[in-house]
Amino acid sequence: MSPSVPPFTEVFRQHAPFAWRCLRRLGVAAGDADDVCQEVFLVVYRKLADLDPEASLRAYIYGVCLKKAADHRKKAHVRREAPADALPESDSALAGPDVTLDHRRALAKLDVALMALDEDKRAAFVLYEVEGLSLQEIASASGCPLQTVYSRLTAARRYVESSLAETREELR
Amino acid sequence: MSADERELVRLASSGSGAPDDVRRALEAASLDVPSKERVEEMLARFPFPPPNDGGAGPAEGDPSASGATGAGAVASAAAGASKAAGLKLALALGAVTVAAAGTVLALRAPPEPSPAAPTHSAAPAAPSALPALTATNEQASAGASGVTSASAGASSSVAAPTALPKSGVSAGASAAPSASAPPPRAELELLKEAHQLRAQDPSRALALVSEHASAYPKSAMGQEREMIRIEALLNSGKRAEAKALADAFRAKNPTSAYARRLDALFPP
Repeated sequence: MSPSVPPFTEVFRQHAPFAWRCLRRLGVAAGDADDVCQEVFLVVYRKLADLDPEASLRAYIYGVCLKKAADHRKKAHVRREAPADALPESDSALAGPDVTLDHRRALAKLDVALMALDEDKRAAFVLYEVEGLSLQEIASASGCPLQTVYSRLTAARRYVESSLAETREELR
Repeated sequence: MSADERELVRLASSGSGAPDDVRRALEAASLDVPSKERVEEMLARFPFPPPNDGGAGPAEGDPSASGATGAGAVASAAAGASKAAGLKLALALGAVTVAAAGTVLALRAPPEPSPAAPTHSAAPAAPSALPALTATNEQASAGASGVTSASAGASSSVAAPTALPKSGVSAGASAAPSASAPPPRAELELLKEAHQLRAQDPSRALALVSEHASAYPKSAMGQEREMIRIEALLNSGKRAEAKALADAFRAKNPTSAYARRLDALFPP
């Protein structure tokens, strides 16, 4: 066995929480996130032995997440659902004592803004601002040039900021 | 100027100057991860092939080992080491694809009285397949024990496959080549049996695969199903048909991890 290929269980434990988090912000409802996450890792599982150990496994996994989240949203039963469910998962850290109501409200507003974005801009925003990938990793995960990621990200930021600013005005 | 040089300050970082609610939203988003227990639960349900190399199984599956210290840590160590071995086997679609079914069935199967019964009627395959399966199941339940409450139920139903001599409820169904029992059988159970029989009883394996294909057309295990079908066809001497399917498989899944296996079966 090649020592350079990490065991699948290790990969799963290390990356599944972040894949799951990313899927949620990409619009996968909390109730579906486990299943979609499993689909992501079934792909990872099949490919693991063939992956270039030098390449970013993280970027690869996020790439699969983008694909599976997009597939998921195309399903009819998903489209009919509300765009974002603000209910935190009961066993996510989001439900923990450190998270204030303000945080949860802000996140719900962010989710609404994200769902109004197109897929590509939303992906750029989530991968950069939530997942902390580099622009280069995002380019690799989304299969597009760096410059494209940059412009998607800046456009997404402008939209998110103005969307949240609008709701601030409304609440005043 | 390239985008490289313009790596942006992240909105969540303190120097970004982003409004409070944007920062709060991003903080909350970063906390929205499943708990460790939940990740372990997902891992336990994951339908990957566990190790099946006889020697390693029982030792790693020793339930006393995981009982001694933090169950999660020990289980993960054992699983990490052994699953790695299982992975290669799996990608070659060795004898394993299906042994995982025990785990998954245990956690997901509806409370049917006897998921094991069909194996009984498939007598020829049973004796050789059983010991490995048993070891694997023990290991799976050891890995899951103490992690979730669901696994308590799992370890009891996990025992089911070993309780082979069971009433012949579905013996009739599995004896008939085109079994089409009204309620579809659990999908991994179908694939498990098909995989076991693909050499000894390829026509039966093909019937099971077809049953799976009609009951679960959108299965996540579609690639596994096609691989079993291809091998069963080969074993029935239908090489041309197998080759045609293999070509279709490769065209549809050009980057599949099974590509190498297919190349070995049908040298380009």
